Amino acid sequence: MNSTSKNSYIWDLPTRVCHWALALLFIFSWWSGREGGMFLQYHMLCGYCVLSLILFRFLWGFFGTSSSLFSNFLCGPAEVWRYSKTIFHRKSAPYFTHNPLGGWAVMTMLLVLLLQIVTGLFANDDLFNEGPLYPYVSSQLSDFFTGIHEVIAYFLIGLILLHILVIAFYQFWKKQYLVQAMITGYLNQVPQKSLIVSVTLRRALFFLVLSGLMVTLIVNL
Amino acid sequence: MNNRTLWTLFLVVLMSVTQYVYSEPKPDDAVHYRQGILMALGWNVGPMGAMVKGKVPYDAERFRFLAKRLELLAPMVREGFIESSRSAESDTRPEAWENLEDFNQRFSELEKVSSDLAAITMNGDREAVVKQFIATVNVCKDCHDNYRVKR
Repeated sequence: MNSTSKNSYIWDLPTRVCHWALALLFIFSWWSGREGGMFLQYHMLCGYCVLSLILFRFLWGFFGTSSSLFSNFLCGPAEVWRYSKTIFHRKSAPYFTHNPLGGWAVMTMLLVLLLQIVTGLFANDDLFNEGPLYPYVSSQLSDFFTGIHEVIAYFLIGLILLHILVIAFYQFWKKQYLVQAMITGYLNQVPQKSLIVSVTLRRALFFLVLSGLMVTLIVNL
Repeated sequence: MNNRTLWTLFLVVLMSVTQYVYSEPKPDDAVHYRQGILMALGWNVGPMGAMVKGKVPYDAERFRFLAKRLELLAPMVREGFIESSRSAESDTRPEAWENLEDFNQRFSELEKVSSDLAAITMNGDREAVVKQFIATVNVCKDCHDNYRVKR
């Protein structure tokens, strides 16, 4: 695969909005979670939004645009290994979506975020805040989930720092402008034969509303 | 007084002394006691939090009633932290016993904020009540963050 200098549209608007919304929501969640007390009600609201976005991303991974489809970037171990060996090469093969390693990094972050939300739904703060599914578990189990929730928060910080470091590495060492791609949708280095990303905003909106409704159902069980 | 009377008196005195010695609470009981008080505090804070968050309608009368409960319960917590319960199994971190001065300071703070809360509920200014309630639960939270075992 040869890279072209021409900018190619790889990230559709829904995927980009989903990404940056998750980033902002994570920052606010971290802060409000640490503050605790009265801020936890907003922390929980934040969590519902994150859960909606994750559900949306999973739907988008099956029914979304070509670059967002899981089947287009989740590779088997052999290909991941092959790519891993070239990761420090300045001219490693470009991809029109996540590279084999990056794809699994995305999946890891999504799954850990999902685990974080699920444990949060059952958590309590020992004062007067409880997750919406708290009534369904014993207080011991809720305490257990709360502990996990606090540990995963640090794990997520680690994952996100790694994510930012690797993006910076691609940005400055490989000159693959991934930051610009996530902002404008256009990436500077893509393979010659790229799939076409056709935006289907109406479909994205449908999935987003569907995700929101699912979350509303879950938190009002 | 004859010998028998003296012996009886002696025994009575001895029994009351041993009674006194045995009445020193056991460490486990101290832990149960303070956990009970803390549970009672949480039991009363819960509905106040629900009112402050707007989950249930604000009821000044009920809020005042609960705030007075907190004021009564708050000074009782520290009584459960007797020296002999230092190594008893509980959710108290060893740091609490290592920083007793700070630990005690927090109980004084809890007593202060909760009695202030009870006082403020008397004049009925809801905004001031909410503000003081937040100050109160923050004292709870800060102490949990520092001295309660991680869950």
